Amino acid sequence: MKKLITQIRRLTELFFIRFFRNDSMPFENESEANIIVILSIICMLGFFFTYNMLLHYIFTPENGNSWNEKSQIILIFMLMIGFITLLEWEVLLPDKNDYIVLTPLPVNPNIIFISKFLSFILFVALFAFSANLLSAFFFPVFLSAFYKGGTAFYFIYFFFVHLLVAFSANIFVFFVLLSLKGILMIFLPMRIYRKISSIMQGGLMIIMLSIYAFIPKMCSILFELMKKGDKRVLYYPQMWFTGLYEYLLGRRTPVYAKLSSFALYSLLASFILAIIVFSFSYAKHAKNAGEVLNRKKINKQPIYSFFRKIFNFMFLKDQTEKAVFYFMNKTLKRSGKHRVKLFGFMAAAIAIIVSKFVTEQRTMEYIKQLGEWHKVIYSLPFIIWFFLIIGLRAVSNHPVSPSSNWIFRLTENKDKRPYRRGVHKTIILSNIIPIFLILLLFYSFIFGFEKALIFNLYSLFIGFLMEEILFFNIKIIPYTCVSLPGKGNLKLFFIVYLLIFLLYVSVTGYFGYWIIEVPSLFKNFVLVAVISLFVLFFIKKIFEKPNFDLVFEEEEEEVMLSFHPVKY
Amino acid sequence: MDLYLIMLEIRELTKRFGHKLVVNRVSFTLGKGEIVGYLGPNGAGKSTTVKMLTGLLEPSFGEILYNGKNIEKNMISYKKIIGYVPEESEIYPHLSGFEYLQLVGRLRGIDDRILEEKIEHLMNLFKLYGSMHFYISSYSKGMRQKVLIMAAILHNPEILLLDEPLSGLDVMSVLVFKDLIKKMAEAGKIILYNSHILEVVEKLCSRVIIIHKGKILADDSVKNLRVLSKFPSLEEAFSNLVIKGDTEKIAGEIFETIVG
Repeated sequence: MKKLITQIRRLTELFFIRFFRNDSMPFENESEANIIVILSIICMLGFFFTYNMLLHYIFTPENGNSWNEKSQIILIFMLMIGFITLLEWEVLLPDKNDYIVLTPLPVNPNIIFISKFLSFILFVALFAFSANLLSAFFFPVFLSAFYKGGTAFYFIYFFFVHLLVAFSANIFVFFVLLSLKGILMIFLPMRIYRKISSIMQGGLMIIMLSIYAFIPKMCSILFELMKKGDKRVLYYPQMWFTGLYEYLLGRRTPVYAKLSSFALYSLLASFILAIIVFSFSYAKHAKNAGEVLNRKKINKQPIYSFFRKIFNFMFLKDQTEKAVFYFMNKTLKRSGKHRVKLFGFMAAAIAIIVSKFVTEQRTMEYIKQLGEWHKVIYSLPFIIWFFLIIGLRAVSNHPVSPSSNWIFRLTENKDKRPYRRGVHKTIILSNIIPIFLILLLFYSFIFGFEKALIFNLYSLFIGFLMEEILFFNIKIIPYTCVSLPGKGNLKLFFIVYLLIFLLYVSVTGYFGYWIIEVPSLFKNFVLVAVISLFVLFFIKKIFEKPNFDLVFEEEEEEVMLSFHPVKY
Repeated sequence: MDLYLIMLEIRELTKRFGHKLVVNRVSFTLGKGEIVGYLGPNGAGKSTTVKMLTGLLEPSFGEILYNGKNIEKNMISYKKIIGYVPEESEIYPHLSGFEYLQLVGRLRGIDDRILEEKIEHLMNLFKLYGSMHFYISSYSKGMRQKVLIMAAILHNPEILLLDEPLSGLDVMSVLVFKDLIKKMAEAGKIILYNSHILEVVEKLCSRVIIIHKGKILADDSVKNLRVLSKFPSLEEAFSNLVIKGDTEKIAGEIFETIVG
């Protein structure tokens, strides 16, 4: 028995640590310190949200409406744990490494199963506790007086109820996502599963962030529904746990009783579903983990080969450019961790766009009837460019296999400009141009082709400029090494960057609007664009030297060194 | 030695990692058409020397001369004429074997048409044609090793630096590879062969350098080493020079430890 407990403890530790040391989580170095920093940030976010939400209770009585703040805080952290779970999507089930290491050992599969499940609970508990610790303290500080006279015992009881409810809501989200992944794995063939799983991961990230942007709107909807006693309130999972919260605090109204029973049943159902799905998918995964991914290359088809040759002839005449172009594209296409990181950025872009539409309470039809499109329509491509290019810049600093980059070092050319041209061409031809074409189609539907073309040429120019700025003087071949320029600056100046982003979106959006509304402006725009391109050409000529050294290792900037007084 | 025209000269090559001296004033020469075996126990400094010869590691002291010129002055041109098979199969797993060789060939500036023909032909000869469009992550160790060997010879290099090149290869491939090395030497290539496998070095190399704790202990032909050390085989000569303990005794102690 003692041996079994030791095995479970060791394996739980192993699985738990793997949540933080895997390809998806950026904790390769100084993992413990990074985890503590992130948990502290989450903890402070809990304080920030709670304090802002509850401050008005100093001046106004509660009147039984604090369920609103409770539901908000529950939803915020349900979304947060959901997002973190999606970042851990790849390691939710034992992976190939676990299988290779654990299978030859005399460990009962049930022990592995129990340990993995315990590691899940520990993982969720860690984040749930960090996120809710301060809110669990401040909720009773502000509200316990409105319940049962604010006794010390009741205060402590309130504190633990908050933690319990928050943990239940978080583990519910975790089990639902785990079940979703497991269901995909059980019912889909392995090859299709791998594709769908990545799409699902990215899609869910977008949904999570979009819901987050929808919170203020959702609150007002819920307020109305609760006031009317509308049953549709049951459609909102955060309300189940809010009901449980109020019920446990002593407000045993029929609505809260109903909601709390929903919370308990859903928690139980998600737990049972997760266990069933996990055990089936575990069996299937264990069977398939040793299977190699022997997928044939599709470009053997003559038609593909023909178009590739034309494409290479038109845009990629230099062999080094070609090597960099195909290396970058294949890496982004095939590396899950890079795709997920880029998905994160794109999810943020989509969430901002969705929130703009939703919070303004204007449907597309409504706006169209007004005779003009809401300004978000004009900002849309610029928000996309911003997050796409920032995202590409960020993911390009993460190596796909750092130990393999020796081949680039061994084959270096004296003139480094083709590497740089290869990077620029990849971003423009493989990312900006396809999105430009999609946007052109979209805007043609809204504005008509001519106006859409004018607007999109303008947006393409902005995208191109942004690409040139963010990849200016780049000294790495993307995905070959760790290089984090500006990381320190981001920590110090993120507020400034945020303001610049808001200014950028507003200004570019307004210019876009004018260019459509006043067609004569297009000539001026063409003139400005041509001059800008000339200026850019000369700046590059002056500042981008042909014989710079390519960077292959991480070299921390001085601003970063200053953050490690002990280390250095 | 006089038979060979000296092409690559290593003078007092030294490498320190912090306070640890890994390669200590190593000097030797490599001539055209020569296959030189570089032998030593684990941690002797063999791979570090090879990495310095490829330009992947910068020496702490000393210089490497190619045709009398310091390679540091024109490292890029020097890199163009070397082929390198690393000790570990460090190779991009998300590419197929074909794509990896295409990447290497393009980086080396080989024209696509010639490159693709060459890759397909080599893949065929190395018995990898059927799996050339599979991801490298699905390759066995031997298959990866074959890809690394192909990548090293794709551009017809003048200097071949081989660090345990037979690791994971099947018998047939080993025999083919050994013959290939001989042919390349006959064609005037310089070959440094870094290995633990004494039999292969004995059969293949015209000269052997033995390194231990970062220092060269011997540098001579296999025949001379045998004569000088008065041992019938290279293995025994190597043991005498490098291994300072009774191997049988150590094996016995390991066995005792396992049995408990």
